[in-house]
Amino acid sequence: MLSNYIPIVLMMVIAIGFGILMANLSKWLGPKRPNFQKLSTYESGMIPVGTTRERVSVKYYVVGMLFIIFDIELVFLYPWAVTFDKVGAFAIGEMFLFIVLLFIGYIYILKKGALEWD
Amino acid sequence: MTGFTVSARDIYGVMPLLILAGTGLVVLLWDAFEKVPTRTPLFLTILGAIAAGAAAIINLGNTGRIFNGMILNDAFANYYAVLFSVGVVIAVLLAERYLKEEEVLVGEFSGLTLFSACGMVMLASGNDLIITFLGLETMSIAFYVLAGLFRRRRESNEAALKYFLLGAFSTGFFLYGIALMYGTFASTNLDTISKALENPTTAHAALTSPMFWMAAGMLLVGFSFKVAAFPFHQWAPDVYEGAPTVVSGFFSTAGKAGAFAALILIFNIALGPIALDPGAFTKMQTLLAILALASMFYGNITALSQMNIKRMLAYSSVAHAGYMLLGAAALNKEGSTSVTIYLSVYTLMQMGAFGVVALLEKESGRGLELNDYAGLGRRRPWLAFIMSIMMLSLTGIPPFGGFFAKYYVFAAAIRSGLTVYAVLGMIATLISVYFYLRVMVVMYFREPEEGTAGIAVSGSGTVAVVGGDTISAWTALALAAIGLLATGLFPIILTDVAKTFYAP
Repeated sequence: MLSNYIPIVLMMVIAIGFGILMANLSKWLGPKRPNFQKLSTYESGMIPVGTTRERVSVKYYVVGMLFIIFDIELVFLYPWAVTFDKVGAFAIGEMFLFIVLLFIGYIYILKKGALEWD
Repeated sequence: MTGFTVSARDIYGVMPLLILAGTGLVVLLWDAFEKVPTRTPLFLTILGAIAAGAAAIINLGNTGRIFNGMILNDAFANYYAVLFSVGVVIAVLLAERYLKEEEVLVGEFSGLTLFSACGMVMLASGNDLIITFLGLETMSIAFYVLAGLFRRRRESNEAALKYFLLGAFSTGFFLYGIALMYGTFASTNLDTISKALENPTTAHAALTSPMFWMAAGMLLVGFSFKVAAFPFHQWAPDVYEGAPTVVSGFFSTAGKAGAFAALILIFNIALGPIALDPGAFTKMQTLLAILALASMFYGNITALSQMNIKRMLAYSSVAHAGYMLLGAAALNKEGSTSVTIYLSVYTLMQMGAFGVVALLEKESGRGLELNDYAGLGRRRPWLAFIMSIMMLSLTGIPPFGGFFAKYYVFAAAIRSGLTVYAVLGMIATLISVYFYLRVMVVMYFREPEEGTAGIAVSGSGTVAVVGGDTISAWTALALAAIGLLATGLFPIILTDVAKTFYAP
């Protein structure tokens, strides 16, 4: 029963241990010769501009959340698009129902002005 | 892949659900296209809830398993669908003026109330643990948003966040319970689980494995959270205090009813054949009964020291979850009937109590302390009268429905051999008399203190009253009060309903 899960626990222990070991191995073994260039912040080779703790408008999060909803819709559409000829008319109806429901939500957020930035 | 078809019978069977969901969508769109907010969404919500209730009653002539045994369409499910519809109607009637004064988004309130009712109907008709989970989530997600409906009030935001974080955590427990149940029985279908427990070989294998007990425990943790039973109740006082008063009333009645419906379906009906194994039966009974006792004592004793009415009602709702758990602990059909009766009466009385509180609430959450109710009996006699009915009924004093609700719950517990627990439960009830009657004492025998303008005097127009008296709010209160009197004077209404419900 539950003893079947021991290999999984074992694998988790090994995976975590391996990760910690590898991350620290270079720190323990490697030579430490720091200079200014090595210690400076890395930003794709550019000279860093401004602070990292920049504040973002709350509207960004609303748009982000709405994006995720429609993103997930797309993820659902993929497996359906691959097999819709095999699962018959029911699946087509069901998927259209799903899209219509999401579309109603889309109209709602559009009318409520959730996508207007100002 | 096997073909999956939907027959007309399936569609008719879930008609209450479809009506609730459809009305919810219409209400949301209506609200989105409205230039100036009106009360139409609330009106549409009431119409939708009544239509859903009617559809559920019509459904009684067409019962059976539908959607390949995933959904239960029987007297039980339809009875609860009617109960949830009544809850929605009362909540909306009470909310009409309250929401307008507090500038809450009416369309969102209506839509979310309807969507949460959808989840509750799913909970009460789920014949598969997956459907139960879906219902639980649909209900809870709508509730998280409803708790934060006062967007600009800090307590409301706190309530929503607290409810969401703890709720998501408890859902994890519930889902893990489902997974382990599937591990034990190789199915999530309640009929299959029930059959496996009737067969002595498979039953023995399941009941002696730790996996089954872990699964039952995890499911129980998930449900205990949703009904606010003792060790998992911490969210309740803060959420009920921070959420809009009408919404708190809806949480603690319809929400609790939804979770209890699913709990009964799983523990009393699907796991009912556990009674064939006396050892396991006693174990399960003790598990539920101890939770019940702890909730009763903790809820009632903590409520003694609460000076805020909403917090007091929250702790009292913890205690009421305990009474209902004791009924469920009977683990038979009588137990489930008693819980159903209790929930029907409890919906009326708790909703009525929260309704009176909502009517008396002043802007930005003032006027909720017990002392604010001083002198109410003289200045607002009818409101004080209704509040007294609710308090007496919550205590369980005979002329009102609350007495018979408690009677059936304790009777079911005693008849299934839980006499000691039932006696202790009655002692817990006696403790509750103090804080329920204290509200009446304050209303009728105490004068408002100088300087703290009691709510009673605010009618003069100097202080804005949030709720205010309206025809709709009084309709809701009268409905609740008359319902309590009717069930208290003629308990045969309750027993008759219960009989039709479990007709063989």
